[in-house]
Amino acid sequence: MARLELNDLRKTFGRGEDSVEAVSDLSLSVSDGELLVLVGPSGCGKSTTLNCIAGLDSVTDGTIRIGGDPVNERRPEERDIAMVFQNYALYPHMTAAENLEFGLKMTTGLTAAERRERVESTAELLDIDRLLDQKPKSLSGGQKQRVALGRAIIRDPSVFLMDEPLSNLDASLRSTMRTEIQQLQEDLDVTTVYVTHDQTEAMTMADRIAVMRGGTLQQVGEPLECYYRPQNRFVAEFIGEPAMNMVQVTRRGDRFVADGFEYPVPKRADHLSSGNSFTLGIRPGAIDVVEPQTGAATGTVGVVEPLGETSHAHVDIADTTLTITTDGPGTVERGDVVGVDFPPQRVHVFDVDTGVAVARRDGLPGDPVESNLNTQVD
Amino acid sequence: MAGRTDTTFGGARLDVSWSQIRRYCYDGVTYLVYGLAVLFFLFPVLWVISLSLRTEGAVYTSLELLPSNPSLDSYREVLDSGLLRWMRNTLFVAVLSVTGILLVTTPAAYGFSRFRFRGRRSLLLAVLGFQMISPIVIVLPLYDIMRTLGLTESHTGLILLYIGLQIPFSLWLLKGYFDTIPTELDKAARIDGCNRLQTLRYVLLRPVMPGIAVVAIFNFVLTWSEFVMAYTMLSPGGEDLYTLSMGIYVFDNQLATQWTNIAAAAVIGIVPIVIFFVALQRYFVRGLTDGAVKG
Repeated sequence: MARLELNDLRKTFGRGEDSVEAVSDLSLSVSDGELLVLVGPSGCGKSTTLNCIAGLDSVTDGTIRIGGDPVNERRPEERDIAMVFQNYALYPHMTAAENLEFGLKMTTGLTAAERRERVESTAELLDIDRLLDQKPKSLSGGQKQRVALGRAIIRDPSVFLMDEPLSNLDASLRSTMRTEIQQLQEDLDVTTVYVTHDQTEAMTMADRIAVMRGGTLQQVGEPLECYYRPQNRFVAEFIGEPAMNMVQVTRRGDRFVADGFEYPVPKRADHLSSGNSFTLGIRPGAIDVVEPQTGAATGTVGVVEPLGETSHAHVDIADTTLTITTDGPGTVERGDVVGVDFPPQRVHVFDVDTGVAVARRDGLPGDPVESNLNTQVD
Repeated sequence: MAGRTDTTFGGARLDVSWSQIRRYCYDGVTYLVYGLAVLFFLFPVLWVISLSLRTEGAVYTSLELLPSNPSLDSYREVLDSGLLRWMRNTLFVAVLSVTGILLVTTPAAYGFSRFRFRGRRSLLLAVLGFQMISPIVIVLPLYDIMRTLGLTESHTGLILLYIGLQIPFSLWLLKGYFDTIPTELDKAARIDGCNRLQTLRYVLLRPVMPGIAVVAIFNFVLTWSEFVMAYTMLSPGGEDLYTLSMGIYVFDNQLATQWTNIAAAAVIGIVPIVIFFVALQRYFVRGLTDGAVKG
């Protein structure tokens, strides 16, 4: 166990004009035993960051510290880390037991009997003791991932690095393994950096999320903090499924207006200048269906996607389409004319040009500060 | 019923559809083409075996594939004339050449596949360019260089030549196999404490084995049957140095061409290659198909 710190980390590939900056001035710290999820779209620099921490890629600039010690110059095996890869990266010619044992053989002075004992106890922990004599090609995806996890656990590292470990699994197995990894991480209490592009994984597993885009850190915080108080439009749209609705509006007096849309300016957005344009963000689950002409806007229901307990309905309002989440099937039907409304504390306001949140809510749902301040409307 | 025809054949009524008839015809043509292809490749071998079992006189008088009076005299004669020594020489040259080629190309292919360094692409293209030069074009300058180095009339010189000449093709082939192995294996090995050479030795060598088998078989067959370089480098040194291909040439002398002896020596010469191929065939076939599918 150890604290992991990244200070002004920069990684550039190539030289001169052809160089590409994959990670820019990234500063992060992961507390002892914490599970931090690096999340972002493909090419955002999250895997490069992980490779830099692991020592698989050299760092262009900045410092990486594990347990307070700078490790930039250390080789991967000297950093006391273990890594789990997306495609398992099991050695195909070795049995599961040999895969688990290999790292111990190469880095420790343990005897064969001691190594065997560690292999067996790790296998028991992961429930793969019956698979120890099998080679990777005869294992299922889930079993392979367990062996890969075992290979990381067996070395008792200070930091776990996981590079999209569930991406190759089918949906149901992914859900099961997600819970198991979370449980395992809690039990072992090992500092963990987990990379994924799946925001559901990020939300459900993380102690904290670090959202990245184009090599830069967009926001770091607890999952619900990123969900309810996104720092910018990118985080707001990336976190949450379906994605947050965005409506271009202009402030006119005490109202935000757009074609077919009119909404009172929330108190916390009072400082915004009248006549300027903004982007309003409203999560699909925050929108209520009301009688036509009684809410912020009135529109016609287009496609409805029934999901069982909930449905996603797409409502066309002038030249904008809002996605709303409704209870169960049958709440709205295609072609219905409906009104939509939403509570002021669920409205996010972003700068049109920079995408920065200009009127963030002050707390999360349930916080005293939140209920006092944000429900008031001008 | 549409597409179905009732056919009377020899008094029996056949109920077959047009699609079935088309499939039978397609299968028939396919097997016919396969049969012709097999015959095309197998007939010369069968003919050489047939020649080796004839008496010298029957070579020009009979066109039968199965000789009417088969004889093993040619085999006795070639075995008494030094064929075994030539085969030993050939085996020595082939094994050491293949070993040398693999020792050079395996780490080189790994390096070209895994490392990005300045001039990598140019070097690869230069290697490919060298492969495009026919060995026959450079045989005389090579002989001159080897003579200056004192490496003519020795198996060592010939082995070094074979290694040098076969590196480009083998390197490209093997690099292709390394490219198909995910780089995550290298990363996992490095985190498990391997340096680059240990990664190659303990982790990548086994997955790339089909490629190594292809390179080994290809070069073994090539060096086993190579004539021009061997003849140029070894012929002044006397028959004791000869390789198999040169030894067979001995039977085509100024006085006569001993076809039955040439055929018998050729048949015996094929045997080690067949054994070698059968031993590595599993890897060879897998290697070829892997290459085809994964590029």
